[in-house]
Amino acid sequence: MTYKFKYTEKNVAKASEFETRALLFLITSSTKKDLIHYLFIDCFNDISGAGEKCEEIFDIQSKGLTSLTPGKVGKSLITLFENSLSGFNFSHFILFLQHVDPKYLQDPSLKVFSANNFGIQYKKVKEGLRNEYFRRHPDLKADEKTFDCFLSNVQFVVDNNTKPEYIKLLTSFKNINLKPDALFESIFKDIQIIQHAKKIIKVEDIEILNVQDALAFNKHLNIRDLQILIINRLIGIEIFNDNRVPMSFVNTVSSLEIDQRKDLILECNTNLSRALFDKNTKEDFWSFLESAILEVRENPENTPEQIYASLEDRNQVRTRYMKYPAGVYLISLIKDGLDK
Amino acid sequence: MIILETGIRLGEEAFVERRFKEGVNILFSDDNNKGKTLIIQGMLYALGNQPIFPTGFNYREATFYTKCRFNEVTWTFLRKDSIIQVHGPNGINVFESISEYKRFFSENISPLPMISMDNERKLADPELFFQMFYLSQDKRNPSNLIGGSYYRKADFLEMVYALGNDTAPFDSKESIQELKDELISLKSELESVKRSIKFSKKHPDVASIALKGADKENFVIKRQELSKVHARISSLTKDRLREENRIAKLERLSNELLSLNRDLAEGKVICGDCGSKNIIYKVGEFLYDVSNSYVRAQILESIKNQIALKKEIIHEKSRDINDQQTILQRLIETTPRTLQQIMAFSQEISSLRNLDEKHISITSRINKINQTLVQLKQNENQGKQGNNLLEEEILSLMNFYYKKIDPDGIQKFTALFTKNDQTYSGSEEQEFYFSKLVALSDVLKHEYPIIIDSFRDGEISSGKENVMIEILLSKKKQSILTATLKQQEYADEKYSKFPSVNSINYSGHINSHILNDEDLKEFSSIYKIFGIS
Repeated sequence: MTYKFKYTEKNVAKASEFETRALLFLITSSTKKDLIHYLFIDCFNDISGAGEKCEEIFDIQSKGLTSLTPGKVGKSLITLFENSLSGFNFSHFILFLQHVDPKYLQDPSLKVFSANNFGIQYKKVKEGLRNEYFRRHPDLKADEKTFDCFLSNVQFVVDNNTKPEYIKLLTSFKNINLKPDALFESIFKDIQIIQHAKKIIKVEDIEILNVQDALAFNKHLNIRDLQILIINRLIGIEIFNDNRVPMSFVNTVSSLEIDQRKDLILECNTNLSRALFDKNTKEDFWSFLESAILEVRENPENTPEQIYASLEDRNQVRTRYMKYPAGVYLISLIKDGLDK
Repeated sequence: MIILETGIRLGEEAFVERRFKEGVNILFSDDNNKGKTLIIQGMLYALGNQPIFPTGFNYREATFYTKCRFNEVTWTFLRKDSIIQVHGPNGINVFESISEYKRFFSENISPLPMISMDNERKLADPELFFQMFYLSQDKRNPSNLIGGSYYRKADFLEMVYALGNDTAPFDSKESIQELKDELISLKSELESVKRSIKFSKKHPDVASIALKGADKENFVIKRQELSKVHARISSLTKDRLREENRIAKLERLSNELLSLNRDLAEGKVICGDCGSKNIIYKVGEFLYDVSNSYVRAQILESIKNQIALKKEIIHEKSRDINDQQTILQRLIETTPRTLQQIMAFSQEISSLRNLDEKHISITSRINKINQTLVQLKQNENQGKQGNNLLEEEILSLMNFYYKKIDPDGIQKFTALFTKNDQTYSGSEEQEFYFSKLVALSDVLKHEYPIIIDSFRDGEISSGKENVMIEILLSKKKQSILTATLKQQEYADEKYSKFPSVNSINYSGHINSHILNDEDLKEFSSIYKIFGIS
């Protein structure tokens, strides 16, 4: 059983903002969000989520048009439908829409609903799908039940969050709501650019035997990386923002006089800002950040000093900017943000 | 002071007690292990008491709170292990040590007595102070204090005297020593003055030339002022230099980062497919950038703000330095020329007149000290008398209450602590403790409630118990007691015949498991006050 990549975006254009919203919806608000480990960009569908073992695929199709008739809605379900017929285990289908005219819906207040909500328009939706299917495959047969069965499994979602709201949902960090919206807009843009970069990798007509094979094309994102990205940005705007000593860093400076403390914090912020500006060290820095976040999460009772020592042992402190005590300082910022 | 509420939280379970009222409160149950002792111990632990929890109860992991009212002001205390937080009208205060906590308590909530420990005067710790009104269930020992070995019964007595006796003599031990030391140094100074007088009389010309029209006193004062100003200028200059160094570092950093930033923007690679200049990776290369332009801009902005702030600080320091230099200038200008010369040599040459005055003043100071020493000695004796009177007053009340409770009793209390080898029978120990706490409350007139855990210990009979309750009811203060009733008493609703007693039934609690998940919600409202989520 193979899966052939078809209907990927052949027009190379900037990834629409809407597709990024769809991506964020899938990983922050869908019912499968906690299971998702990988996000495939423009492979199986616009965005497809998969767990760590790649045993199931959660599919999302985004349609950023402002007005869709029920027929067009049905038509836009085509890729989801084809995926449901393929041999791979697609277990969740979402059509992500910008707007649906209330006159087509039984309950227009719902932002997430099933096909029933189209009421009498359900027929038109099914028709739109059916017509598109047979247009693409004039030689194939499919009976009504197949379409009905598929439609009963589809979740229709109307986009209802702002860009900052989506980003804030990705990770919990202390006082995240106090940070400026402009920061979250910039993070959204970062994700959008990365998504676009993934999109333009060509896989059209390539065949794979199982889902894991798709990882080889590098057309995917790790959810964990996205979370690290956000924590990285949240910490970034704290550098030099004020002169306070992070709570979990207090022990490290407790033996110092006030003046020595000020100089130490200045030194730590200096090194941390260099790390963020110096492209040459970004891999080592990212690796340090990743290990630090993991350790803080898994060993919440450990102090930043202990975590730093553990990272040193595992050779994670490779960039000179994270030498003692700047590395401990960064870990404290992470710990302060992640601790409950 | 009255205790309003208390509570414990451990893991995902909690228990909150809000039923306390003014007057007499009795926590009772028909069986042991219903949580009464745990609640009482937790209640006082939150206020700073030593932990005397049963082994097996993981108190270090638990959070305790107590809410009380001192003179119309409500205070809430929250404690986990060694951290105590206090919420009051001025906000939230956090303490990591009992020393800090008791100082705050004494200065802002209710004064604590001072006692001498390790040759120093210190505030009494809560673990000692609370024994004035709190009797725990365990570790009772009529001949000594309850709990840790840091405090001895002599410390308790000293505390009681400090609270009840206005003619406290214990201050004087230090003062006496200080005065004696001063006496010694004054006597030696007197000798040196006498020598100088002799010299002056022998060489009158030297003395008069040196200080025409200038007093020795003014000379010393001026010299002190000058050195003070010099010290201030030097300290300000050092601070200013430090900030200047920091600004230099930040400005260098800013330039360094700006140049790194420029390099990023100068990349001349474009995408072969779409023509985009936004190249951030090649296939296979690492994906994410460790910062974006927004974050970098923010950092540079923050550095600019830091520099501006430090420049302001430097301006301030410079202003202060200028002010001090002006003062310095003025000091020097108003000093006569000859004095300026003399200050350079800083020799002690005095006019005869000054020496005579000095002689008189030292001698009179010596006399005054001697008088004070005599007075202090008298005070010490008086103080000792006062202490004895106080102790007698307390004892007589203790015996009075004892007789009221146990008219046939044969004991006569002669001290606040029994002798080491003395033992009391059954109910006598309880009667001793009860009488002591009530007597202390009467004589010292302290505002704290009387708290007795298991007040019927030792098989106190119903009759005696009723007398005890009557006594407490007659006092115009809160008391909190606990009792484990016999089945029959429980069935008879024993405390219903005391309508003014607030009886709180703990029988419904599961044995050894008073904490439950429903009270968790109540506890969260406490956390909210402290801004803890």
